[in-house]
Amino acid sequence: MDSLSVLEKSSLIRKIQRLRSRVAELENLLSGTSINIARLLDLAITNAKIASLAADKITAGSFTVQIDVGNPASGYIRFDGANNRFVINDGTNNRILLSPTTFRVSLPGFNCLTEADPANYSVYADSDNVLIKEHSRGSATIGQTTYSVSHNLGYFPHFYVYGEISAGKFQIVNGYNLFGDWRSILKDVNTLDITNIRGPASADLRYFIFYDDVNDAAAPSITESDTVLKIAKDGVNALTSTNPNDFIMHTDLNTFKIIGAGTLLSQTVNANPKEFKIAHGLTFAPNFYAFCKFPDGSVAMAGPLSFNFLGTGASPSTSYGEFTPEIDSTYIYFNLSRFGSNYNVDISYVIFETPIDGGGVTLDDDGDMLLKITKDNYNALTETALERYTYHSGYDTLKYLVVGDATVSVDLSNYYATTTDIFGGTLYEYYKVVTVAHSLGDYHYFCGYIKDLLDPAPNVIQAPFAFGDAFFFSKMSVFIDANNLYFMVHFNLNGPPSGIIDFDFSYKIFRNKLGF
Amino acid sequence: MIIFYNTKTGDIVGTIKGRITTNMHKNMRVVDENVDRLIINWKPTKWLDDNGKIIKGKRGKVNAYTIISSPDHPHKATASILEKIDKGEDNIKSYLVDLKTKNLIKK
Repeated sequence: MDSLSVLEKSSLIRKIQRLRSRVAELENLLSGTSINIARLLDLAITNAKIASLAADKITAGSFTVQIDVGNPASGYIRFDGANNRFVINDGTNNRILLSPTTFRVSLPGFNCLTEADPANYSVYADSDNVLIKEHSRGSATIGQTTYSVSHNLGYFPHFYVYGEISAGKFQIVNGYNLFGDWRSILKDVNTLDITNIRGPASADLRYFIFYDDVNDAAAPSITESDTVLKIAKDGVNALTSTNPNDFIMHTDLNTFKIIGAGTLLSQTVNANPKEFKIAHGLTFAPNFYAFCKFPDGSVAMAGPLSFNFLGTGASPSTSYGEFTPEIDSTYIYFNLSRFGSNYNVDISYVIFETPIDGGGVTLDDDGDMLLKITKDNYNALTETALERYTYHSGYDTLKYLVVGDATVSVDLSNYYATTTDIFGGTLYEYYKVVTVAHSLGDYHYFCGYIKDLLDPAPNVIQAPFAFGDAFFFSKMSVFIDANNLYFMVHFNLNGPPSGIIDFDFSYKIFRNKLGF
Repeated sequence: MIIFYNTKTGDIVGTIKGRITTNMHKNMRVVDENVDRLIINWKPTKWLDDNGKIIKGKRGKVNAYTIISSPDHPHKATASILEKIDKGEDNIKSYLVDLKTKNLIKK
């Protein structure tokens, strides 16, 4: 050093200081301390060089790639940034799709990215396939009297009623039945009346009332919970609407889960009445519904029937009959009347998870890659009672896609026959069918309602309707086939045969197919 | 899907819907001593990758993005009929169950 000049010494000392500084930076780097200034080449840090990365380091930006979470063999969740969607795969099929334009949950065995038939989804929000939303349910034990349910919705809601006909055996109470044991009617916009006409002296009843309205005109409001999954109908803002009827799906509100759906085919009605039955395999009586297909191809809801199958034109039968589905903790029974010769029917039934007598469904092992939403205060990770879920993607749902009205206008001068009553007066008989095309190309679950038929109006009954006495009869029904809905009226009146009477109907057609 | 058929005539007298048969479905019966049933589930037959390309061999370590499945029935023609029924292109009432082979045959 002594031989170095002052300038040389100074230069050497600065070099030594720079080198010390760089060595210190390298030591910091190796010891895990952050580097204040570092120039790293693009792509210099490869996957192999990163031992782990905490998710909270990602604070901004967009994922435009695919990220799979989970084990592909047993199901996984894909954040599909490349296609703006989120997909859940159950290990075999893609089952749940969420994208900016839709939300879909396919049924077990169907691929939500490719399946084209909306009937094979439990939720299909590409269009308005609306899940029914339960408002209330209840039960009572009554004698031969009327039980009034004050739902106070201020409009006519969709509903199901079941009445006990013997110990533990319940009948679907549909329509207004001249000879049946039970009747139900939406007496006004706030009241459902259920009447035990000639059932047991002490009998149980069950009812289920839905927010879904008969004619799609109501605007109820609910107070929502803080944790809810809502899928709004087209044109509705899911963040601001509190009307449950604005939503395809609303997980604050229970929707029925379908635990079984099937058919009985080519059954011969060779007795009067004729009973068919299936063992439902459950340990309790579940909520259910059924339809019957007659020889002319028309399908009727449960209840009283005129048995003048569509197409009989100007000479319909005035015979009275019934299609009465019943259930207990072992069987579903389908009872049909026969008049004249034997005939064949097909029957379609749907079983819901909701018990009307007894316990409920304990879930099968349904895997984890599903969408399950419990009612308040239940844990979706541990709950095994299906009845405690408002929605469960392992099961089909009732989804309606069409709500409409129809009017059958009868010109009283167009009677098809006359009869004479015991006083010598003339009775004029009328029969008219109005057809509404649905063009779905298959038999679908449906509901028909008859409006303002009884005094005082307004009121609504579920079709079919049958009533009469020694002189007069009146029958109104709604049928469906693969392409049309049929609204039928059949009645007699005393004269004079002039003027016009309008019969107003409403209807809902569901995505669910009947399997005929 | 479950198909109920008459064991003397082969006539199909009922069905239970669903590609995947649950235990609840299996417990359901048509109450008639002359009725038996066929249970047909759907099973994967082809695995496709993200690009829609068929993955050769059975799905292994490759992350199959989607699958193609078909009715699990050994008789090809019957499986094909069931596939058409599933798609609504055919009606189960047009068929009988062959009591010997348990295949579907046209009425």
